[in-house]
Amino acid sequence: MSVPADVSLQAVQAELPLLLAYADSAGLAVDVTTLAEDNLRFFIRFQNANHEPFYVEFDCREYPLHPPTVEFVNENRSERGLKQLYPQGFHGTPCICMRYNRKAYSERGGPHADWRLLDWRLPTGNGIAIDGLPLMVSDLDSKIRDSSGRMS
Amino acid sequence: MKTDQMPLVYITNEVAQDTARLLDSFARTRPSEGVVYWFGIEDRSAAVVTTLVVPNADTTGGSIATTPEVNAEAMGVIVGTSLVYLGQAHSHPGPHVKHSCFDDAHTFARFDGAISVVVPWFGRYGLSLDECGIYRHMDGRFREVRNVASHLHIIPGFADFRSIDPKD
Repeated sequence: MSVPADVSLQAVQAELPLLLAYADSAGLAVDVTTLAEDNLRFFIRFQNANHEPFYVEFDCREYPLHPPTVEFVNENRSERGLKQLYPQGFHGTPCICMRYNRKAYSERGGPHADWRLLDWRLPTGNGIAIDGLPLMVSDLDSKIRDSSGRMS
Repeated sequence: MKTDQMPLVYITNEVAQDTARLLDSFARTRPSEGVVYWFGIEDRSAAVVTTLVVPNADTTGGSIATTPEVNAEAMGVIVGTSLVYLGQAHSHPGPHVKHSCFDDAHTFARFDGAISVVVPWFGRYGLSLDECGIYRHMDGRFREVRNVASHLHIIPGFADFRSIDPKD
């Protein structure tokens, strides 16, 4: 089963107002200028505890049936998924090891064989369900904001 | 009140996790700490958290500020009931769960015996005692509790031993 690109785009756009409001209050820079049916990606610049910038790509193909692929990239987006692009404190794969990241699932090469992509909205343990883009951004922001330095 | 005279506070896991969810709700539109007041029933040896109250706190700066009016409104919930104010839980943005000087000075529940729980990561990952900072107001100030089991217990709120899902 695949999700038509226009459906994914509509789902992302529906969540953008809350996401942008959160980003504005948190001082995050969101770039949705290239977001389109044929390019379901947007980017956010976060800052760690030392105000060092980190850039994250949200690839929303198949969203919301499946979670986005959330990956650290460099500023000009020519490199992605390298340890030096990750803040300290993330899974050493390297990977944002959360249910909301497609890359975390073993079927996508990630460490979690115990999760199913279709269940990505489930809470983990006693936690709340991180089931939408604004919460993903909030979760990533708190983790990056707490870290200092790079993975390598 | 001496430490050994303070009632052991009990909270069900369900109410504890509801606390965490309410704390997280403060951080949904901006990176903000949150606070939940704990009310319940108390006798000399034990207290049970039964009721959660979220004050209309000002969190625009990312931390919690309450006014006497806001706290009076919160306290109004227990008027005419047998409930007493037991303490509070508040959240911090990251993994750090130390009471700050601001927390010491501005926590509303500043009376001996009051319990104050600091929940990491905005409460987003639930409330687990071994990840929280547990403080109790003793001898006029908040002190970090080392022997948590003497001060706060999470107990089951329900159990269901059926092997078949009743919804099936």
